[in-house]
Amino acid sequence: MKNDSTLNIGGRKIKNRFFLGTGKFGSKEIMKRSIEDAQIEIVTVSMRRVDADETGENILNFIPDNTIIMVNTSGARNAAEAIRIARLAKEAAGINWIKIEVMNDSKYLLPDNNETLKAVEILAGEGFVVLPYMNPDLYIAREMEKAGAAAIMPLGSLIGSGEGLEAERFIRIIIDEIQLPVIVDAGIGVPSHAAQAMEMGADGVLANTAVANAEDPILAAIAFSKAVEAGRMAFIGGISGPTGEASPSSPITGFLFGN
Amino acid sequence: MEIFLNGKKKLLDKKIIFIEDLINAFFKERKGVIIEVNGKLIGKDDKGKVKLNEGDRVEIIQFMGGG
Repeated sequence: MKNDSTLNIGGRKIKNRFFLGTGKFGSKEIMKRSIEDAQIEIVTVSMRRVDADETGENILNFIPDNTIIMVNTSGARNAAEAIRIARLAKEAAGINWIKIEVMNDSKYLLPDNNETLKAVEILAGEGFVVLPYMNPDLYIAREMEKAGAAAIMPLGSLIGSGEGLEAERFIRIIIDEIQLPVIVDAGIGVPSHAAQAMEMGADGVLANTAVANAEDPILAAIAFSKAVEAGRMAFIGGISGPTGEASPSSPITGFLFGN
Repeated sequence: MEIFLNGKKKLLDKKIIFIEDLINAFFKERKGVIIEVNGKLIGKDDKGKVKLNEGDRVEIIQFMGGG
């Protein structure tokens, strides 16, 4: 039986290839249990200004020790803003895993590949573990790889839409042509989307909304983790997939009936 | 004095002198905030030592959930 190695990313060995976003959870306790019970190893968080009249605890207190925390640069409209968020995360909390997320569009929430690339170039040079969230474009992915990104995160479909792998054909190109780990992120709506991404040869999947908005987020996090594992095993096990032709699976001689 | 708090003008009571006073006045319930004054990070231990000045740009930031 083929043995699949762990995912090597940013100098760490990761067993659970399902990454979880921490947004939208109704309860921080449930978010914590989701991470624990599904044995999530990598989570994302954001950074925001705090309103004076808000109460509440630091989300970092609800993330189990030993979980890798990746700060997303959501809110950044350009490379400079993304870089500022990253440097603040490192200085304030010693976090150097960054999901670069740069967008200037609130209708589709599509990432700005060009600004994202600029941020990769600067932040990778400063020693950050950089995972750029991008609109699957082979040229940009190549430049990001050259610039020192630790992985490439092509979108599956629009953030929060749950529409699955709308960008499938273009994700396949990234998987086939880029040597870095490919983590499909955004629009993952059900575990079968996650399994499908892994069957295609992706190295991991990130989801947030589908888990946080589930009636039972803890169960959902476990389901996605299992789906990612199943998809990975299918890929490593060389399951060939659709043949497009009918072909009987039982013997074609010795039938009990007829001649 | 008037400062910029999270990008908005804010008039402060005379009693607010140190960063710590600002935090206690408006952000007491919030644990683990990150404080920046004029682009510089203020450590936890320095909250009581750093004085606020007219026109200072103060950012109160926290890690939150996000995908």
